[in-house]
Amino acid sequence: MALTADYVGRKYGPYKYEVGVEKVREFALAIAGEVPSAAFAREGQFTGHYAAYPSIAPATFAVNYNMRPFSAAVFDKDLDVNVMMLVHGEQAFELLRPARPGDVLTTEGEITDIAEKAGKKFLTVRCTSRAADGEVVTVGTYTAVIRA
Amino acid sequence: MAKTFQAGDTLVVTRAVDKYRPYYYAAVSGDFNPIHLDPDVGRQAGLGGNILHGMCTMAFATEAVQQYLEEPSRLKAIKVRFSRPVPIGETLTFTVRVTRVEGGRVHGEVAAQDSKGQDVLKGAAFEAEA
Repeated sequence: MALTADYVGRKYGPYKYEVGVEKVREFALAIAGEVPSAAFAREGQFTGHYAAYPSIAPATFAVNYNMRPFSAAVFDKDLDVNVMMLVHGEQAFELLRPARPGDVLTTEGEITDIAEKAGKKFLTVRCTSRAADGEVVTVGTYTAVIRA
Repeated sequence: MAKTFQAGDTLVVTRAVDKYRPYYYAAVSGDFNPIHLDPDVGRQAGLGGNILHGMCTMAFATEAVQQYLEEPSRLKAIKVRFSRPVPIGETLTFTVRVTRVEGGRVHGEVAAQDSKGQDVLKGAAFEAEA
């Protein structure tokens, strides 16, 4: 297995993502427990804190724009990760401001740690998403656990 | 009246993991890993069937925190550790608890348990603007 500490520091990206209002709406419906394809009938009917969507994106909408370098690392042929043995171990987000429809976000990522504990490998990738003006919007830290 | 935050504040939210939730979540997140969608693949991976996306569990936990905060944009940071797979058909209980309010910041934790009382997340913590 080629998942060694030699790859700490390897970078992925930049990846560009434009936040679209209907995608945000469907995402919010899915995590609110609704049927996303019913979105057209639900416009303007979000209640409680969900009423903030889709003017802003839910925090975990970050999987759509911030996670890409992590996915690229997991599928990096040099790292030779067996994705069938991979689980998402840990996840952290720093939310400097909400993402909004119309944002064009650019995300870059870097492997910050590769470790082995109790026969399992741990791969950590830190991903930073910036708005068009360079403002940092989201920082995500993703840790995959790969069972040997 | 403006929302006030106090240490000890607690909010409990339950969420059902219905049969089609992984398909809806895959469609909106782009994560089509078959362990979330195909019971046969989940069984082959030793998981007893397909399992919910960890990020969907995290989304439920995050929305529970934001339900407590009332305004989602108050949330500044959240972290979780995925400690147990979530099978389809489970009901998850999220308990949001504020541990400290200091310097204009609300600090808290989120417990997430399945119907047997087992933790599906561990060490889940958040920070928000008061």
